Amino acid sequence: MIRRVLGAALTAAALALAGCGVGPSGVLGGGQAPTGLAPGTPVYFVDDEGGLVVQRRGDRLSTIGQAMKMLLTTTSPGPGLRSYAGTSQVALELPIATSGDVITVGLPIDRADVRREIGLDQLACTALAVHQQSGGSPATRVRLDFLHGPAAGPRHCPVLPQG
Amino acid sequence: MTPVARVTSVLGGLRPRLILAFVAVAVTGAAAAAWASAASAGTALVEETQSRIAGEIERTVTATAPSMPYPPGQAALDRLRTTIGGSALVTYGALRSANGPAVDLVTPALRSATGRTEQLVLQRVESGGRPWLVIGAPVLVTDLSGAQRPSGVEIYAVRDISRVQQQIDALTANASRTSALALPIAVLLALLAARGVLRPVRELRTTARRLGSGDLGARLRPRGTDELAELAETFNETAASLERSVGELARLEADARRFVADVSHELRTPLTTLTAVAEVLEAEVEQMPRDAREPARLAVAETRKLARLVEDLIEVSRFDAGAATLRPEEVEVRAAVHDCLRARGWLGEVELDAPAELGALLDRRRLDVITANLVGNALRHGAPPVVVRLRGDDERVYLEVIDHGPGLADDVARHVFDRFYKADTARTRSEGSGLGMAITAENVKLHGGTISAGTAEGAGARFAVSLPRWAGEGR
Amino acid sequence: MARVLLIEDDRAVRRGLALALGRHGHDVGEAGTGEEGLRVVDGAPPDVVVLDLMLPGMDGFEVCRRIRAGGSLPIIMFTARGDDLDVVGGLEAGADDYVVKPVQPRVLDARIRAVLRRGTPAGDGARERHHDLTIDRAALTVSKGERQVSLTPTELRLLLELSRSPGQVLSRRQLLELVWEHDYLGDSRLVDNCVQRLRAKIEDEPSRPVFVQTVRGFGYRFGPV
Repeated sequence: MIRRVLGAALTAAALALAGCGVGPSGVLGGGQAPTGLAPGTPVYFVDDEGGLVVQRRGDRLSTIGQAMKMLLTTTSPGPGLRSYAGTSQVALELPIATSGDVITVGLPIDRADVRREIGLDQLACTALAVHQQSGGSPATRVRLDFLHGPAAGPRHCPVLPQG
Repeated sequence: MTPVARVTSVLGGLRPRLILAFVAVAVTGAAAAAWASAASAGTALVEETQSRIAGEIERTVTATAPSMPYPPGQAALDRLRTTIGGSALVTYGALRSANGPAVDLVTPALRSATGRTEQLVLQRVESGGRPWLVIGAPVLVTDLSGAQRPSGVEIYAVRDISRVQQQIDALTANASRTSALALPIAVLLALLAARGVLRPVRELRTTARRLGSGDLGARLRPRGTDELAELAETFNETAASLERSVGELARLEADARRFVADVSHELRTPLTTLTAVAEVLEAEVEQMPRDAREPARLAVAETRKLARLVEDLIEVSRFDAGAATLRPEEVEVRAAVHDCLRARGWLGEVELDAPAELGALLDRRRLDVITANLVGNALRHGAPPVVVRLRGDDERVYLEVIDHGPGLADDVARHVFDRFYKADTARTRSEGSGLGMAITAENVKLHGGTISAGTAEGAGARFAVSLPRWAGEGR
Repeated sequence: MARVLLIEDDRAVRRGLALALGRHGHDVGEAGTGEEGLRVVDGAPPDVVVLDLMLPGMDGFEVCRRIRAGGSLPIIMFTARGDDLDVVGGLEAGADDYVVKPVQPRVLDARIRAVLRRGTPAGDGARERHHDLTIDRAALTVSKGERQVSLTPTELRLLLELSRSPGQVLSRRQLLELVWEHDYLGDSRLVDNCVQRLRAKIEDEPSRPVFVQTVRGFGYRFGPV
């Protein structure tokens, strides 16, 4: 009887010892892989049929600020494409603030400079495309602040996944 | 006994077994609990560390990737590798950027897994006696529909996790200490528990021993209602029934003995008359008519025999009643034995082999009875020469009576001190009362001595008596 | 030879012993009770009394004490039981000797003759003085100072034997043979008891005896005074 009890005790001890520690392991799943690579910065324009079209600029994804700047500084986007988002010759990257699932972009233009409603979509989609491609959540919305005039949003982009 | 057998027999005791079992269970329990908690803490620690490192890398890469050109050149890979820091490897197709010796720890299995998955993967490896965590991750491209696909850029990072090992070691050491601490406490508790369990067993043993040694009133006190209490009750019932039976037997025997004693005493008075008249008759026998002489002689002889028998019965009754007392006095044993032989006219038939003087403190009358009965027996049943040998040392006096007859058979020797025992069944009446040897044995016992019967080598029967030399002392 | 009074309640025993003792030459008187025995002792004193201890009415111990109170008449007691209690009680009551039933008449005869011999002069007729104790061996009298001491024949004989050689130790065994004429198995309690009674009569302080001294492990010694 003693021998059996001792045997059980030793087995339990051995098992316990084997369970703890950081011995070599096989290949384990380790969660989410990184992302953020993209062949250029996505910038949204409007085609002849009034649809939103993405255009890649540069060789990297870059930031929301850079993307917004690209959108606002583009006066002639190319054949068959227009921009209603207004223009500005800003030298600096735009101020971006993130709070919860809302990104606030401070635009160096007035609300009145955005000539059509779709111009707001251009701004929102450009910001959210960069956000999503750099690993951000599709549920995030964007709010557009203007120098003058009421802010727009928070809103989703109609051509991007919305959470 | 071999050492192993001795250990086995020591461990075989109820107490050691109880204690060992108790200690084993307690220590195993404590060790299992301590180690289980250490193990789960250790596992949690490892997992927390792994996911922290993986998360860091994922965040670092995700933060850096948007500023990287895609497809990347060597410079971009180098920059990414630098941002990851430590030992790291970044590949894209044939391009490769590596730093640190530990990148050799990236196993082929991990590399192939990284190529096949869209997840971050991990593997723990050991090298140089230290544990390492290897992380492999494909950098993904998230397209505008939300779908993700591998970009072809793969990163590998190798991290030293020996600090985790140290923390786990500390946890294990702590668990061992906890288990070790449980040992003395377990032993203490085991001793207490064993005492509690074994006390009734010990009481049972003590009481059984008392019962065995004749204390028929010995009983257990049953406590509680467990199996031991039932055992105690059964024991008590058995003891009570035993006491009743023995008491009944003792009462019957006491009655019988009292009857013998009473009858013997009652016989004394008529015997006194008979003895007196027998003596008159004996003196007158020659003056009687011839045909009356024989009956007269017979009557005289039988009267004397009857007187002796009653005398012996009364003596035996006195021993039975515990009324026999020892009256020790200074005795020169050689002279006392010599007087005994002379008084009975045996000096010519018996050889006395004794030291010149042997002083002792004995009951003179009882010593005479012992000697006379043994010598008388030897003369009646043995053959001459009869030798009485006396010896003494500081503590004891030894008296031996040896004859040169056929000796005593074993079954005779066993019963020779029984009352009315007759070795020769053909002889219906012996010269003596049949109580002589029994009285002899009782007298020896009263002195605190021993007596034995057997056959002497080269001679006949041998009776050996050993008496304490100073029997009266301390009385 | 001697006049013996046999006090015994059983008629058959009395008759048997009377017949046997008669054959040994004694003149035997018989009494069936203690009271009757005492009347005989008062009226016509015998030379010796043989007294059964187990008597109806007044028991043997009481009879013994009364005879002893009245004088130094020798008494041999007759015990049926032979128990230590009987023997010790009888000796303390003043008996000189004892026999156990059933006794052989010749043994009883020998005891009777021995006890009677104690009262006869022992050889030399000297008159000795030991301090205030005067022993007249011819007249068989003992005086303490001016007062004569009444001793039984046994007590007297014991004193005579002891004082014959003052300072010399006599063992109980020797005294039993000299005074009681017993064989080697004599009861030493007879000696011890008689010494007690003797001391009570001749010593100033019986518990610190001067004349009859105990020698532990050996016996008794007279003086030295």
